[in-house]
Amino acid sequence: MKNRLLPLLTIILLLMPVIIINADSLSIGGYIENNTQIKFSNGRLFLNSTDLTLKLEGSTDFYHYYSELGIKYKGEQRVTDINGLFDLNTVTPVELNLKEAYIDLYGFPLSSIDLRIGKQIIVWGTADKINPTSNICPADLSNILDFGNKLGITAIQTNLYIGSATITGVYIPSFTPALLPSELFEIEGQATIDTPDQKLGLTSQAALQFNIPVSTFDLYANYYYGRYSIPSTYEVTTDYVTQDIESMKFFYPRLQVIGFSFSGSIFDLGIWGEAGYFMPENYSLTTIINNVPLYGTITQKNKDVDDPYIRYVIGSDYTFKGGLYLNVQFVHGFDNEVTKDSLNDYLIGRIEKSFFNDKLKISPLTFVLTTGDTNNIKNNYGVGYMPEIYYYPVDNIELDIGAYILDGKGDNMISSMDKNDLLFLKAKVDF
Amino acid sequence: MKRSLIPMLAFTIVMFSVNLAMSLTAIEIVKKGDDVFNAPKDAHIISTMVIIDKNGNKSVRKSEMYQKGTEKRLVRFLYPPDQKGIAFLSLPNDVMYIYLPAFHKIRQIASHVKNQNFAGTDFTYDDLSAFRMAKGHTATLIDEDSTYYIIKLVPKKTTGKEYSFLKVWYRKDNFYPVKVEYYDKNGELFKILVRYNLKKIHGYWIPMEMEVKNIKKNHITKSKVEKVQFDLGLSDRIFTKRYMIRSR
Repeated sequence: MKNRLLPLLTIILLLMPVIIINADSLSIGGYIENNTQIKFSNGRLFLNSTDLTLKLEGSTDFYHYYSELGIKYKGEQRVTDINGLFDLNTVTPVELNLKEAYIDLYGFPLSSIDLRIGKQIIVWGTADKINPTSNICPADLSNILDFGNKLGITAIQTNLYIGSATITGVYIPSFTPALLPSELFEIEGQATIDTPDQKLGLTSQAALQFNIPVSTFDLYANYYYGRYSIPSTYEVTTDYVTQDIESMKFFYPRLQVIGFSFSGSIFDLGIWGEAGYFMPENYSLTTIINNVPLYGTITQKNKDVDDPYIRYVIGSDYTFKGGLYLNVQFVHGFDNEVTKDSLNDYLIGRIEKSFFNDKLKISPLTFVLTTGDTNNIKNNYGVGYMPEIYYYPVDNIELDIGAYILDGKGDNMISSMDKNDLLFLKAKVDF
Repeated sequence: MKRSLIPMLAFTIVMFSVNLAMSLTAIEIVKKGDDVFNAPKDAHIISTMVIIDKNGNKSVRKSEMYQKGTEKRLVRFLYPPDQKGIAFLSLPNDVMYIYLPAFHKIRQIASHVKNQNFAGTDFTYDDLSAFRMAKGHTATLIDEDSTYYIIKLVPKKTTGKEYSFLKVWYRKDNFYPVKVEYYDKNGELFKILVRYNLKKIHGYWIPMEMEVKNIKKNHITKSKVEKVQFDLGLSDRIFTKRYMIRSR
């Protein structure tokens, strides 16, 4: 860590005079955030991270640059032997994350075109947090209960403005997988991941979006060609005698998505909808069974995975007199549900009210309901309840306390996490 | 007797005619107020707001605003750091957008939000939208003195306003609306907006200071103009989502 930080800081310091001389309005800012999560069941410290994020930004009328660098201490040591006690990187390990770093060129090469080049986070779609049509950036599932976050990717984004319409084209030359939550998923046996070779023909992704306002509505149509960022299993090896899984092989299947979305309002009610038609590449799921009596090893092809499917979200929000805010979304297929058979339905709702001119915000009711089998809800359901209180004592300070309370039965995402009820506390300062 | 009566009659007739020409209806006063208030073809204003709660604690907001005509307005926050870069775009037909940099996208805001307070201030989203009072209200002259016309404005049902009526003080010399009292559905006063330090810049009247007080919460927002420019020939492209996401 020290080896990577020092050269980076040296470069930044050397460049500072150049940046200051040339930039019209350089600004340096960022935030410090501490995030603590404690499991209700055993009082275990689930997360205790401190994040320093630095933002460097400057602009003129012709260009703009932005970078966001995160330095995170996860609050855990990685000492495995006595030698580790002499190394700061194992005693207090930190992670360096260049979240975004890009250049905007305004009106280039034509006055109606803006370019963005570099590492950037691109979010498409009109729904809140769950966007089936936003497949360009891989998901950051490191904190799966705080879903909807994305990792930045290196891309060229071109926005062409024609009247009130916008055409956006994105080209991504290299593949970036999603960041998965290690604490929640345990893989049996040995696991190998086949990532695409570093060849443009294998790693390139592209996307196109068309947006036009019609009356008081915004309409979007888009297309994505690339890969799933969450790996899929294509081979499982088991032992017939012990019934143990010996190994699993994963890869990132190719994917095409055609998406449509809209947002607008009807009679003061905000409404939105988003749907993606997912077309995965054809691949087979194979099971290898070792130590089968008389046969030794059997290889069987379980099924072909190639069925296209639709994921969608529809939602609405409204603010009542007195400031009570209600947001409801119905979701068919979560971000991590990547095959037709795995899609579940979710109802997500949130009620929020601010007090004292936004100094205090309470969300007493945020819930997620799901079932994997509508004919047998009693034995296949998931319920998540997430109350939260935000307090802003002074400008730039945010204090946040809340809980994730999960319960469920059967085969669905929430029931698989029902032993992970958490209390969380966040403290953040912006500067 | 006859000789003195005729001049007196003539004088009375002349004075009556002059008064007829000078007395304006309430709606005409409001229209004149709208004309003065919305006179600039466009404007670029940088202002600082100080929010004061009932305990005297202060928060500061700095923002810049672009306005063109009466239906297009772009507001961008410059300070504090946790709100820097947030932008609000108001377009015709109640179309509103908000850009939140932390979420990397622009979100359309439904009109149910317009009566909510904006960014912790005592201004509502509706207050930040450009408007013409005469178009959306019926007007009654309820009082006047040597300096002001006091007009009662009742919003038309289609406008969906948070108040049941307003009392507005229009200056007699220039028709600028310098004070607004907001009354809720029960007829109780809940908010007062006052515009101070009226100056004429480039031929247009503008209040260099403004104060909004929420009576029930005992909460005040003071706004001070730091920089103002009029009639810059602002392009329509500024009032677009493309421009919202720019930092300047």
